[in-house]
Amino acid sequence: MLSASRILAWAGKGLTKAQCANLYWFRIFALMHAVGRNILTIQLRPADASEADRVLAVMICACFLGGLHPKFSRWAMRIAALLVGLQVALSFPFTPNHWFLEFVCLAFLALLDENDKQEGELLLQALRWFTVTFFFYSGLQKIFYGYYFDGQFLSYIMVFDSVEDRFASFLRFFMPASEFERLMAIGPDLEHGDGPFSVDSTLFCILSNGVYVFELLAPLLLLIPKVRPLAALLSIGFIIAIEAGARELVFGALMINLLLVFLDGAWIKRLFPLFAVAYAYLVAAAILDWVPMFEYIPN
Amino acid sequence: MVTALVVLAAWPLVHYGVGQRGSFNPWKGFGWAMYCVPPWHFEVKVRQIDPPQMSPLGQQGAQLLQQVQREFLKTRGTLGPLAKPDKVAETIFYLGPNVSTIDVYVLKGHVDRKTAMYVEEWSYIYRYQYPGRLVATHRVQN
Repeated sequence: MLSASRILAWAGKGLTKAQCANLYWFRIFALMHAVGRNILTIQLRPADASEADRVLAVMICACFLGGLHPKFSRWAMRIAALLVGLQVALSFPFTPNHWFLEFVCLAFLALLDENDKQEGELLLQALRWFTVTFFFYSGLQKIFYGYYFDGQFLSYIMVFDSVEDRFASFLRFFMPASEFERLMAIGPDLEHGDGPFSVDSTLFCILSNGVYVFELLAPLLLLIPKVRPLAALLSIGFIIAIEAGARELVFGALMINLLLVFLDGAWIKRLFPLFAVAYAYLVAAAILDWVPMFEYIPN
Repeated sequence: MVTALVVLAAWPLVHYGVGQRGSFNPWKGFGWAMYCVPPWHFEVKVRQIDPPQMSPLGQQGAQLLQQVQREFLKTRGTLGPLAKPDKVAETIFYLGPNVSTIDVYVLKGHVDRKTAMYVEEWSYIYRYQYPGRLVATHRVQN
């Protein structure tokens, strides 16, 4: 009979020193992400940030600064988790899913201490299982809704996003030039009868269907110890490819760090300076108009 | 913690089921269905029934109505038919106290999954009476 502890153990057993360090640095990263997300929302999407959000953002910044000191790290995390939870509740039903993703991570980090052997192992398993869950469902929901079988969603996003030319500039290489021109001629101002939002290209259909196939398989492979590192690296590559097409960094940073939790080495610690520079850049770019900005899409 | 993980694992299935019945936006509600469905587009139109001539609103009135319509469309874009244009109707009656009956039309634009064509249809008609009572809802089947 499968017990909860056996199922949890599919995501890994025990906790090494490197994994413990990983979890500590993921704690710091999660706080940094919460601060960065708040500043970017206030600066770039002011309509999505209420007065309460601005006050909460200042408090979350204080939690991040407090969290940098190991003595205050756990308390800072608990308060930050409550504050982000409040943001999620206050913005409901318009809450971006990415905010909820961030809240769950903060909640796990608030409830469990990586320095305790049992709690640390449970924290590692919980973060891994949560990542597997939402990654898998990303793929499954694409099958449920059926807009990837004939490339309908990717075709639409090429047209709809043609103003910023993000996905179009990448996806055009997967279809004949005539199909690309046909889609681009539809234009971003849609009218009844526009379309079809599908592409007569086998390569494009393979790519479109490949998206959900990968999202279904990769999470399952992350649960198999022997292939876990490879699955994590391939998933990181997948996220980087999507973020490169979307020219977005914020969700990608969070997702990559969640995938780094699957690796045994202290990669979150090693790569933290890189992510710190990235968030500092994004905050500077959001505040100072003269610094080129990436997209910020809290979905 | 295990309970939380089980809830997080089961919720997306519930989300899909509830979404199909209630037609709320799959991009919201923590079901991890972002980037699954091309975003919907909504518009709202008001037709005065009694009296039949549209009353002039003035600049301030028009701005107020626009803001209320924008808020309704944002809510409609998330909750689907669960969001009714009650406030739009109340605002119309507030701005034109001599108006006794109006119809509010809601248009939905979406990509049809089977044909892959963009379809716009006036999907719902709501009839309101002064000062904002919903008396009938008509779902337009195309």
